[in-house]
Order: sequence, then structure tokens, then C-alpha cells
Amino acid sequence: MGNQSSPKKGRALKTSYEASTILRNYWETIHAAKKAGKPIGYCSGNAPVELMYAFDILPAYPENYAAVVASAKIALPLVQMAESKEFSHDLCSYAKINLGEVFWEGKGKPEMPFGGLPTPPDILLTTKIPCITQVKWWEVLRDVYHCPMILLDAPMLEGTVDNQPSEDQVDFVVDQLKLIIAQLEDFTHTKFNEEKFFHCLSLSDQAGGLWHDIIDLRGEAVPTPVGSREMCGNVFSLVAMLGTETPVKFYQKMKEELQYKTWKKIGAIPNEKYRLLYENIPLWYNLEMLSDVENKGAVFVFETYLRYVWGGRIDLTDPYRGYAKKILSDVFLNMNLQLRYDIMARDIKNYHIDGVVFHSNRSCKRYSLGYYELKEMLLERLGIPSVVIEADHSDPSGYSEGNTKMKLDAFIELLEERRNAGSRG
Amino acid sequence: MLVAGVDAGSNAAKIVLMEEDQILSHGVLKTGANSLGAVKDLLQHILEQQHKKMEDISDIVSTGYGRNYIPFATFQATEIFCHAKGVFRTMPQVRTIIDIGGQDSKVIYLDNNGRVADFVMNDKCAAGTGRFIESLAMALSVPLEEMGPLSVSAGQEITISSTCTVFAESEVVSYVAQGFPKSDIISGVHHALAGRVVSMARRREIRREICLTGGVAKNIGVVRWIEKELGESVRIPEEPQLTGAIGAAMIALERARQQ
Ligand code: SF4
Repeated sequence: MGNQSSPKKGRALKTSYEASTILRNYWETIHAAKKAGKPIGYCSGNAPVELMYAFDILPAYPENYAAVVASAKIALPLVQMAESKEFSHDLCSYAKINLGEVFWEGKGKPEMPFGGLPTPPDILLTTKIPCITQVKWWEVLRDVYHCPMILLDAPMLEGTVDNQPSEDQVDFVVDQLKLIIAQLEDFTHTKFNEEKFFHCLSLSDQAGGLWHDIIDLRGEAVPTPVGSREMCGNVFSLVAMLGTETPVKFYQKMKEELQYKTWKKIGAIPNEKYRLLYENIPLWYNLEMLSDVENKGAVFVFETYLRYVWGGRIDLTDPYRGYAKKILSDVFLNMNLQLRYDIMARDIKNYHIDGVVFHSNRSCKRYSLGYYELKEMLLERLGIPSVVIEADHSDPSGYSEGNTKMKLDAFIELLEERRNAGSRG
Repeated sequence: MLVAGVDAGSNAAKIVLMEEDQILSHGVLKTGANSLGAVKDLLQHILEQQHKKMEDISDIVSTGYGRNYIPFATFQATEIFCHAKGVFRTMPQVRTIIDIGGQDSKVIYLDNNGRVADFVMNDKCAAGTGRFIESLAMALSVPLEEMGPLSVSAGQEITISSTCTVFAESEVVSYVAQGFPKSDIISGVHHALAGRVVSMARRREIRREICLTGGVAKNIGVVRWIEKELGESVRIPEEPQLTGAIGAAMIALERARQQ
């Protein structure tokens, strides 16, 4: 229960203001490269992008771009266009947004942010680590653009809470990486530049390490210096520019600012009462949802999506195996339910979490599996309450604002009652 | 100490006026999209009947979908909490509340102290809500209030299998065309709603006693099917659609006493 107070304005971190410039620069660079006749590759999020840089191919990210489109609140006509082209309603909305743009016919196409994805791509690189949808989606793009498509296969992780794949699994991915190198040599008619690859890996390692440090810093700090909405904007430079220097510099600066704020105990909101964990991809068309709770003294301090999809260190003493391990071990979607629970339980403790918000995401079914089981496990084993909201990360058509707001408000009331009951003994 | 609870729901606004722990008066107003303004008139009307004035009220709490749009309320709380409070007031033994409202349905699980321990609600469509019955009543040209009593005389069981309200309407129309008696079809409609709500409730352990709130709790046909599906009898407050407003008034009372 609570009174409405006015929302907080501005960013919590000064460094966050640089994110939009980085994003703009990225798009300008990639469009300029396309114009200059340089090869462009469409990459899915968890694909080995450092190999593209090693062959002087610039990556563009259709999934990431779909999120940009959804944040600009223009996803709906594209989704509808894809459906009118007989793509299933049940398909992931990232794919529908991209395919809606690719197959757009007639008038009324929304103005695409940053001038759209550079087209046509020269090569396509994807992986089945997060889902099979990406593979099928890339196959459609291959048919449209008549360009080669490369696929990195990888097994599902069934490890322990240390999140380590088995040696066999690592061997398998190393073989896959070598195969991709051979395919890229064929495509570019150039020899693989291993030195360049290792350099990119080192930059990825630094950026990925810094990102995880940032997540730890803001998660462990009480009060947390920065909420979720801002961090969802800050991840873009890691997603789109992994393997380059830009995210390394950006996150180094951000880390320093966070260290200062943590030391000074400067919180993102004036009176932090409840610390929340967000599970799944955010609602890109309604990031306000993440900050609305702040009016009631609640703040999202940790998101599995930001930690277990993006970032992570690479053991550079054994680069191929180190890289394979990183690819396999940091993706929540690629873990079984027990492992997810174990990891969440650990994070709930480390980040002093009071409650969990699950977003059951119509698009991303593999991410959203088992929520009611997890919910029960969290309550029974840890006494941590949670709520499940039902929506989609990029397609706003099935979203009910009133319902979602009510659920979140009621959830905060529940946390408040529990807290009051606890303090009464 | 005079307080008021306002439940600004999707179909109707409900107001309860309480003097200490006693309900003095209440009012219900069918609301459309633009009629939240009329809620204040209703409150004034209720006050006048009781020879009271707006200034006599110590605190007003609003709930329901329109809770943030009641400018004269001093505090907002969700229906989930208000229903828990409202039920606990007269039925402290209740541990599970099933609330079927116009726009959604919710199951609220209470702990032994009457506090909300967890809740689930449907939020995809109108399938498990009062709206489902309303639109099918319309398709059958039966006044809503008669749906319950009519279904009691049903003979054979009819299955409405579609979850979607619109598709269910065409199922209903085709049963009518095939000459099935209306009472049987209506009973099938109630069964479909009850099945959906109970399966949602089963996501957690359903502890006794069970209470049914919301306007649909007045429909005897739905109540019977819910009891059948649960294998348990359910309790129903005297004015089930007022539960949220009563809860809101109780929160107002707690607040006023603290001031
Ligand atoms: S289904 Fe999930 S993992 Fe696959 S493309 Fe969509 S959001 Fe990404």
C-alpha cells in the first residue's frame, strides 16, 4: 500500500548519459562501413562475434535492434506486418519485428530508428545457445539475402552452481569455433588473423569482467546506487560493441562512479525499503514499469537477464577453451531448472533480495519455463515471495497495463505486510 | 470516527461508509469509462442520507482499477489487500479467497493471521472473469441476474471448451441452434468459468476455509460449479461485491486511528 509520489527525474549515474552517444556512434559507424563497401554480418546475441572482427567483418544485431525498435514504441505495425506474411503469432517478437521490416510492403512503415539495419548483410552468424528460433529466423534471412549462414552449435549446461561446463562440452564448442574459422576463411578468402582475434577476446574479457563487477557492486550495495531501468539502457554498448574498446572505457568509468557512490552510500532512491530481483527480458516498450515501483520504496537491484545473458570473463591463458567455457557458462537460457534455482538462491542472498518478479515472456518460452516451480521453491526453501507477470518483451499487443500495475502494487503491499509482521515479532 | 472505502472497479464503483467498525451505508454505481466523476456524487448522496458531510470523514481509501483516479481519496491500496481485509473482518477462518471480478479473477492465499501470503490472477484475457458470463448472457438474450437461477434446472451437461470469450460465444450460438435448452447451455457456461478459476487456484495449496467474493459470487450456478470442482463448500459474504470497498474502509479506519 502506498501513496503516490512524483517519479524521480534524471539518471542516477552521470556515466549513463554517455550511453546514447555510444549507441549513435555505433550506428553511424556501421552505416558508413556499409556505404564504403565493407562486409557486414548479422549476428545473434550470443554468437562468437570476436571472430567476425578478426576477419574485418562488422557485426549488426537484429535482436538488439528489435529491442531498440520496441523501446521507440513502434513495434506493433512491424509485428503485424510479419504476421500478415504468415509468420506465426507465437513467434518471438524480436524475430517478428525484424521480419516485419524485411518483408514490409506498402505504405505506413514507421520511421526506423538510426536508419534501420544496414542491408543487405554479407554473412549471417548465429547460435542455438539461447534458442532454436534464432536458427530458423536466420535461415529466413539467408533465403531473403542469399548470403552464407554460419551456425555455432552448443550443448545445454547441466553443471553445478559454479556454472562450469564439462570438459567434453568445452571440447565440442572449441571444435565448433575452429570450424567457423575455416568457414570465415572460405568466405573472406583471407587467412585467419589469430592475433586480432585474441586482442578482441581480451577486450571482451575486460568489458565482460567490468560489467559483472558493476552488477556485483550495485547488487551488493545497500542502498543500491542505480536501478534497473537505467541499467537496461546501459547494457546496449556491451551487446552491440563487445570485442571493441568502447565498452571497456565506458564500463571502467561507470565502475569507478559506482565505487564512489557505494562508498558514500548514495542510493538510487531516497528511501530504499524493498530490493527486488527481475527475472527475464524487460518490457522494452514499457521500461517505466521497472522504475514505477521506486515510488513505493522498492527498487530492482539485480536482473538475471543483465547478468546471465551478457558479460563474463574469458580465461585468456587458454583462449579457445577459455572462450568456449564463457560461451557455455553465462547464459541463463541454456541452463536447466535446478541450476537456475541454485544460482538465483545464491544471488538472492548476495544481493539482499526481498522479492522476485518473474516476467513470463510470451516470446521467449525457453527463458520463461518453470516459473511456478521456481516460485514455489523460492518461497518454501528461502521464504522469498515472488510474483509472475505475463507479457512480452517487445510486442505490446497482449499487455495489460492495469493488471500488471495492480500485481506489482499488490506485491509491494505483500512485502510491506511481511516486513511489518516481522518487526512486530 | 467516520471513514469511507471506494472500490473503483471496471464495471461499477462501490462505496462503503463506516463509523468505527460498523458499516453505516453503502452505494453501488455502474460506471463507464468516463464516469469516475460520478463517484463523488454518489459519496455525497450517501453522506446526505446519513446527515453527514464530506468534512466529517477522517480518511478515504480507494481501491480497484481506478484507485489512482479518485482525487478525494487520501490513500490507495490494491483489491488484493482490500479483499483480504474485507473477508477477514467477518470470516477470520478463511485462508483462500477466490475473487471473480468484471475484468479479472484472483486467488488470494492468506496466512493464519489473515495476511496475504501469495496471490495469482488471470491477466491474459476475459476468459476467467465476470465479463465472460456477461457476454454469453448477452449472446443468449438472458438478463445477467437470471443466469444463476436458470442454470439450476439444467438437465444434461454441456461443455464449452473454448477459452476465448468470443469463440465461446459462437459455441453457445451453435448449441442454441441445435436446440439445446438454455438452462443446460448456461450451466455449461458456468462450468467453464468455474473450471478455469479453480485450475488457477490450484497453482498453490488451497487451504480451507474458502471464500468467494466479487459480483459473480451472487450467481448460484457458478458457486455450485466452483464447489463441485473444488470438492469443498465455499463461503460467501453477505454483499460479495462490496468486499473490496469494505476492506478499503477498514484500511481507512486503521489509518485514521493512527493519526
Ligand atoms: S526466443 Fe528468446 S532467446 Fe530466442 S530470439 Fe527470442 S528473446 Fe532471444
